[in-house]
Amino acid sequence: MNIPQILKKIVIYIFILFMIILLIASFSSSYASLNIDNLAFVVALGIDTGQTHQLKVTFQFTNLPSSMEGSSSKESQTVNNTVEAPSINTAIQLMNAYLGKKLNLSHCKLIIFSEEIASQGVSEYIYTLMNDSQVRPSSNIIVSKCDAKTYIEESFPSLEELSSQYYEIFAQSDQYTGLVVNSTIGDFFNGLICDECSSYAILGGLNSSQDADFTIEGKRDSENIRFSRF
Amino acid sequence: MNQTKLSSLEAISLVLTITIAHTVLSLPRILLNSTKSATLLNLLYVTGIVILLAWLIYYCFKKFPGQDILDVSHFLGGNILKNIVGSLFILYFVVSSSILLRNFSQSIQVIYFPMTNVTFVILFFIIAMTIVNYLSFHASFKATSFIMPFAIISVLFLFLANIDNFSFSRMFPLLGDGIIDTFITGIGNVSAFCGISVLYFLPPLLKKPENYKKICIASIIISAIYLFLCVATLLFMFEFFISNDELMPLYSATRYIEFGSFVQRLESVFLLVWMIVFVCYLGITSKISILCFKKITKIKYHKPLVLPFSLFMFAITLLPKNYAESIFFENTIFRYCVWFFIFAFCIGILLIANWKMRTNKKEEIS
Repeated sequence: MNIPQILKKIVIYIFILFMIILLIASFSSSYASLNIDNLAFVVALGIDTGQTHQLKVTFQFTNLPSSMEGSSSKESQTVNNTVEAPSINTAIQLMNAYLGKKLNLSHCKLIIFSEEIASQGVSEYIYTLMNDSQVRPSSNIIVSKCDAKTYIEESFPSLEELSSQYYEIFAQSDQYTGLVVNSTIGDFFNGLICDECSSYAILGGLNSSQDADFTIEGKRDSENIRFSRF
Repeated sequence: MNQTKLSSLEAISLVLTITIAHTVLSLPRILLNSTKSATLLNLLYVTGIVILLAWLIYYCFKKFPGQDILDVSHFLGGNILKNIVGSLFILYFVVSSSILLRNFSQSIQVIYFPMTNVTFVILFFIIAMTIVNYLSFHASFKATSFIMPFAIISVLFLFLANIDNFSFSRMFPLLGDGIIDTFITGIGNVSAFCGISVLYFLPPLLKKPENYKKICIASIIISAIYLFLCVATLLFMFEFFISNDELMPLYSATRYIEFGSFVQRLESVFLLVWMIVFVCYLGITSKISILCFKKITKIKYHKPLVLPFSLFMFAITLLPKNYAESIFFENTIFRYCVWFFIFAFCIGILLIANWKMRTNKKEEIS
């Protein structure tokens, strides 16, 4: 092999190395931003009417136990945060700034609208959520008789340790009972834009011994949750 | 065995790749928005028309065995027409694939790489395409025929896995907005079969040129089945893509696939298959463009052209200022290109060339 050929090979290798470094550098920022350490996973989203702004948005996060604490305990704590904002996207941005982590809605299994906001119309919020590539079309929709914030704060399962797991399972009871319907945001959106269809959602509310303001007819006796009734 | 020649399966794969690449992006939405609930019926009707056109292409090429559209143009109008047709084909392939790449990269960026500049996502595909083109002539075609079954199976799986979410009543009214919209203005949906553009270059590339007729018909029928599955999936699942989701419509359908709690979020698998298909598509379009350039300039070797063509495509992908501009090209301008250039202009050239051939023969006899 003569010298020009060796030089040519060296140039090619340097070019390949440069391209690899360039691509690694350019994609690393996306990798870092989508890293599990930098994301805050929302498991439930509540939307109420606000006092200072149009919306009061409540986010429920799971505080996952770290691997250092051992894997024997599955129990996770939920963290709720509320922010008032003129739109859902602004609320997400404000919460991003407040938490110092990027909110991720790809594990959001429950979207709750208060009855007050539902009576005013929810189509613009549904459009916003459906156009968000993170929101799953299989997320369930609930219209709550009480505030969405109160609903999220008081709705915790007694038979499940992970609230996210509970949110995923509870709507599936429509397969063996006729009392709950598996209403998803995808179906709700399809119903909204269809001329011959109607959208439907699960009606939820609170009923507790301390707070008896909210009563729902036809409530079930055997619930695997403490306060929430559907 | 001649390594630069294509088998029938590889030739069919080439046509399919182009259709699939367009289907991954907004093609099904364009079809659904133009003919609404009558899209399936319209697709059957349009398939019939395109099969007739494909047969016409085969019939016209029968008089010019082993020649492609550039040779036919040379016969008809000499070097001038050959250069014009060749330049138009280069422009068509390079611009359409570049803009498609821009849209695809932009969608990938929105979904997976929000913090990365779209230029780097595009660069990723351009590098892959360049490597493919530096490999032997046959390598990219072999890879394409290997990937194609996966792409077809993926869309079949998409259809079957979403059956639970289907509402078959969405195909009614069967005639959509009426007979005129479905069968007269709906003819515009022939642009869905843009893969037909490859058929003009296949005759000299085939191992068995006698199979050209079968290749023409089979590729159109398989493309039609593929399109039918894609459109049916979207039609039965969604109330037409008018109001939401400017991203890839098929991607939206993949997000609904769930098998219990454990098998969810399969969209990443689909995207992987589509990315590979896209690299194959870019490899094919750039290779055909290089072949055209080589033919019109009479250059002996094609490898020195690979890098300039890659850079040319890269530059074009960066031309649209935003997603709205590139999607406008794909949704509107591209359709006109297919109608007027691929169907009208090229078939016109073939017909006139046939007429010239016939009159020449008559003159020779007399």
